[in-house]
Amino acid sequence: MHDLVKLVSLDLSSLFAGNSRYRWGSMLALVITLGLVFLNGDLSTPLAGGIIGASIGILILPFISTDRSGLEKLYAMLPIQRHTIVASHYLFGLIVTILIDGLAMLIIGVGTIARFNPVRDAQSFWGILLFGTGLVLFQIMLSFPIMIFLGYQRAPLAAYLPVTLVLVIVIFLERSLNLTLTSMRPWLGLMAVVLVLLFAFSWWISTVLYDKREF
Amino acid sequence: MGADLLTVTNLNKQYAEFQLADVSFQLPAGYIMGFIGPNGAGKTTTIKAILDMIRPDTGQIELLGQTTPQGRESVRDQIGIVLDGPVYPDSWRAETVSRYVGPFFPSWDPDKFKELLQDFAIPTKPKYRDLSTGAKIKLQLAAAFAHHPRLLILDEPTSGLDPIARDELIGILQDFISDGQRSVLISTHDVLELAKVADYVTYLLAGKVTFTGSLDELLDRYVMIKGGPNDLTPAIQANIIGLQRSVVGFAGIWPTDQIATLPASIVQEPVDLESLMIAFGKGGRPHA
Repeated sequence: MHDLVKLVSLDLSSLFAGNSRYRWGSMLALVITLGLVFLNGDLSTPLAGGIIGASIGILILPFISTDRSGLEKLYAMLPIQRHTIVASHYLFGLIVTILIDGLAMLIIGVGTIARFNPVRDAQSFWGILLFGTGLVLFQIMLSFPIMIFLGYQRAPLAAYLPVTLVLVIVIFLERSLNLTLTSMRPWLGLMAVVLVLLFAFSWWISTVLYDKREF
Repeated sequence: MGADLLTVTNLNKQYAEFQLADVSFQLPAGYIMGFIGPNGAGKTTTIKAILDMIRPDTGQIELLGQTTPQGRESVRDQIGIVLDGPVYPDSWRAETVSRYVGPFFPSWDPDKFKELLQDFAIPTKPKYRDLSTGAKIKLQLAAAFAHHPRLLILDEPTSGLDPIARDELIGILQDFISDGQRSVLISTHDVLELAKVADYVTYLLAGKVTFTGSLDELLDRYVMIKGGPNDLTPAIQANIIGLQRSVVGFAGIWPTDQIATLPASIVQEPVDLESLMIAFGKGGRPHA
């Protein structure tokens, strides 16, 4: 457990280390987003969706850092099991999911106190939250096994293709079946169970693949 | 001689254009083993197998008494490792290594790490990407020593080091094994430095172990022979290793147990490790 926490902090260091211009740039983008939403609540939903989409890139930062910096050699020097390394990536993914949810909720929350066109529809709040969470979790489930086994440099498309596919499928389903949060409510429990099972399966597959990987 | 800290037995690994074949050697406690061979001989591949970065096709590796990958992973806190190439994120500074790597080792000594940063003159302000090649290696060395390991596995630790730093490292390695309980496996091309400090040598050539044993035994097995152009008989030419020919004569390496077959006109001299490596690398082909 302690090793898991330490490894997650290694992954998190790829978020907060690096060029300070990117950190300040991200903070500035967030402040501008919140400012825009505060002015016009109608912008909260598209901007929250945009932040979710852009933030999905955060998930692949540890894999980029690992490939560029030869971190797999560092892992080979540490007294840790391979399955712990996989677990740390998935735990990092869950932490990022919570962070992205928090950002989305913050944007929608600011939208409710917007000067013009404040958000009054609670559905948009829950819709964004569920959609964003589902999207990020699908990204983890689909791309992590590929990047854990092949690495970012050998499979860069794995970083972006899954979320694109999921978005296309979701938009198609929403338009062709007229899906809304209300119509999906009876199925939410089942969907949550399926999501958890798929997440666990992805984690297991990643563990098996990483155990076979050679460096 | 203490118990073996590392035993490799019949290690085999097949790649498309290279094969590690039946690599076997042992490293007892209290000694330094030089792991030598030309580029592409399989030294790094063998080290990767020991560290479970690759899975051998067949063979056994016993590391600090552990024979399974999970067992070997669990004893890595007793092993100090230096690998070729970058190993830390570009944005890290020297102190960041202690912050993120130190906690993984129960016996991590932050004061020792700081002392080594000073001893090795590793700058602490620049980021890892801005350090020189030598400074990057020295940072790995500092981290390898800082958790008081039982076994050091060093892959090309002297590349990028200036002569003073190399000499300092040799001194540190000699101190490291002085208690008779710890050992060093050092893979290097720097045979001049290695010859000063290695007790054992494993020589790898084209994926196979050509020799493994004490350095003195290896050097006793061969002599350097020299002779005039007329002394180079077909029999000598067929068996000499690393033949060097010039207008004034020839030189090469000859097995000690075949000295009796040499004519009296042939001059014999003790051989050194560098000459042996060059001779074996040439594979006995004549060179002008």
